[in-house]
Amino acid sequence: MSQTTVNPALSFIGDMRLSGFRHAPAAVGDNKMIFDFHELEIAAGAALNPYARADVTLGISHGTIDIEEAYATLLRGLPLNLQVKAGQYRVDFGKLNTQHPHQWSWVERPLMFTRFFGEEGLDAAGLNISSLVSVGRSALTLSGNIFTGGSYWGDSQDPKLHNLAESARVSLFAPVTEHANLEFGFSGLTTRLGDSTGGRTTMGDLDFKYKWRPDMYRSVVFVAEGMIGSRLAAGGATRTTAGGFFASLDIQFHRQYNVGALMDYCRDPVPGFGRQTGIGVFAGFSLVEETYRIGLLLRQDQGPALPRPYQTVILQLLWSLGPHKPHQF
Amino acid sequence: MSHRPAVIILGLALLSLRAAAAVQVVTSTTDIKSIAEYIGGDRVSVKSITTGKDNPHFVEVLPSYMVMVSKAALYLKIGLGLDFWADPIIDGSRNGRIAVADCSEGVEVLEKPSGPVDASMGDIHPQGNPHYWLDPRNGLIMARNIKKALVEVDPGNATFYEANLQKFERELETKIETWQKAAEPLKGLEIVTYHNSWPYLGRFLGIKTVGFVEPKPGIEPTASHIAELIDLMKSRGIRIIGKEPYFADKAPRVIAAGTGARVVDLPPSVGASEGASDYFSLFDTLLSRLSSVARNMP
Repeated sequence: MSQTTVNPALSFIGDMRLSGFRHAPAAVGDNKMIFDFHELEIAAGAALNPYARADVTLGISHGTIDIEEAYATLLRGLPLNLQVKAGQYRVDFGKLNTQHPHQWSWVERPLMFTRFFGEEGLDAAGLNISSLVSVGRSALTLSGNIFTGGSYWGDSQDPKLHNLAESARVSLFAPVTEHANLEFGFSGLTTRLGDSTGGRTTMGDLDFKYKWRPDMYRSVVFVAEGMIGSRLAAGGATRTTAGGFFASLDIQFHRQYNVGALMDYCRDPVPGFGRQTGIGVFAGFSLVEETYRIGLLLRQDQGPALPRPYQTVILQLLWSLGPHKPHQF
Repeated sequence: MSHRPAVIILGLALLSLRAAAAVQVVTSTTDIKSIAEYIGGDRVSVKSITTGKDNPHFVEVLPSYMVMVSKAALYLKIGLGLDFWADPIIDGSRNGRIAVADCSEGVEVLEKPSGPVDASMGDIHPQGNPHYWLDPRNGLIMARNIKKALVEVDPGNATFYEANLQKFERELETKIETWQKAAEPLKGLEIVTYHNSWPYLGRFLGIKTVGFVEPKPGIEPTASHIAELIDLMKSRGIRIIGKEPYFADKAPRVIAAGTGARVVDLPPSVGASEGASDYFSLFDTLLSRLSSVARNMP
C-alpha cells in the first residue's frame, strides 16, 4: 500500500468572533467588544480497512488542545446491521449533542447542554452500538452507549466522580415528500455517582427536526429539543429535577443567505442559578457551500440569576479548509 | 404421517423464489440507473439516489438512502469526485456484502488539471470534468462497466447480461450515428452555459462552450462577471445560453436581455425534464432543444 493511499482527509475549521455584551454577568465583562479566535477544529478521518474507519477531531481554543473526538468505527460486516464505535466521541444523547457547532446557524451551543454537560456538551470515552432498521421508506436507528468521563449536572469532568453511564437513543427518520424530511428521537441516560452512596442521575431527551429543501436556493429547517433530568443525591436524601428546551427556525431564502430565530431555556441543574431564557435572531452569508460563512447573532438572556436582561451580539467568521464533508441530516 | 413432501415443496418454492429475486442495485444518478435497467432487465431492481432534477454536486446524506443501500448487492457510482457523498451513505448503510463499481473506469476524462488544484479555482474536480455520461459514446463504456459489475454479483445471469449489453451497444451505436447526422447543422455553434457540465456533449455534437454564467465552478454569478459575459457574447454573436434546470434563471435572463440571446433548459440527466425519460431520450431531448433554438436564432 503506498503512503498516499493511507493519508487521512484533513480539514481545518476556524471560528473567529467579534463579540459585544451589554449588562453581562461580571465574569464576562460589561459593555465591551472583544475579538476572540474562538476555536480551531482539526478533523482527520479515513478508512482503516474495508470494514472500519477512524476519525479524530481536535479542538484548539485559547491555547488549550482538547481531543473532542477520536474513535474507530466498525462500519460493516457485523450481524443485525450493527455498527460499533469505540473511543472518545460525542454521545448521541439527543440530536444536537452529536453535532459540531459549525453546523449551526445559531452560533452557540444550547444552554441545556452547557449547563448539564459542560462547554463542549456530552463528550465521553466509551462504546456505541447502533443498528439501522428499515420501516418502509423510513429509517429507524437504535443506538446504545456505555461510557465514562463526561460531566453531568454541572459536575466537574472528573471521571472518578461517576460510575459508568449508559444511554440509548431511538430515532425515526421519515421522508414526508420528495423535498421534505423529518426525524423524531428519544434518548435516555442514567449514571450512578461514584461515591457508593446510591446517588443517581437520570435524564431523558426528546428531539425533532423538519427540513424542507425544494432546491438549492431555498430551505426551511425547524429543530426542537427538550431535556429533563433528575438527580437523587448521595444517600438518597434529596432529589432535584431540572431541564431545558431549545428551538430554532432557520430559513434559507437565497443560495447564499439565511435568517432565523431561536428560543433557548434552561432550568439550571446547579442550585442557585435558577432558570435562564434566551431569545435571539441570526443571519448568515455563505459565498460557497462549506467554505466560509459569516454569521450574525443577536441574543437576549434573562433569569433570576441575571441582574438585568443580558444582550449579546456575535459576528462570526467560520471557515473550512479541506475536503468537503457532507453532514448527515 | 410424513411431512417430507411438504418440506420438499416448501424447499423448492423457496429456491425458486430466490432464483427469481431481482438483484438490488442502487445508483448515484438516473443516467446509470437507466443503463443498468437496460442491461439488467427483469433480473435487477434499480434505484437512484438523485432524481435527475437534483444538482448531483450537493446531495444530503439521508438515513433513508442508507436504508436503500443496506438492501443492495451493488452500488454504481459516477466517480471522478462528483458523488463524493455516496461514501458516507454506503458506510452508513452497514452493508458488508455490497459491491461498489465506478462507472467512469476507462472513460477518456476531459479537463483533467495538469497542475496543483485548490479552492481558488472554485468547486473544481481534481480528477477532471465528471459529466462524462453526456457523451453517448461514454454510455457504451458505462454499459460495459455495469455489465461487468452485474456479472460479478450475479454470475448466474452472465449470459443474459451479455446479450443485453450487445443489444444496448447496437441500439446506442445506431442512435449515435443518427444524432451525429442530425447535429451537422450545429457544428461550430458557440454557446454559453450556466455550469461547466457540457464539454462531453460539446465534443460529441461539435458545439463549443465559450463562457459560463458562473465565474468559476460553483460560484454564484456577480454583476461584473455578467457584464463581461454580455460583452463577450455580443462580440462573438452568441445567441444561446444553456442552463441546467436546478439553477436559478435570474442571471441567464439578465444576460439574455442584454444580448438578445435565448435561454434554453438543457436536461443534464435522465428525468431532469419532460421527454428525457431514459438514456436514449435524454440525447433526443438535448438535440431537439438545441436544434430548435439554433434554427430560430435571430
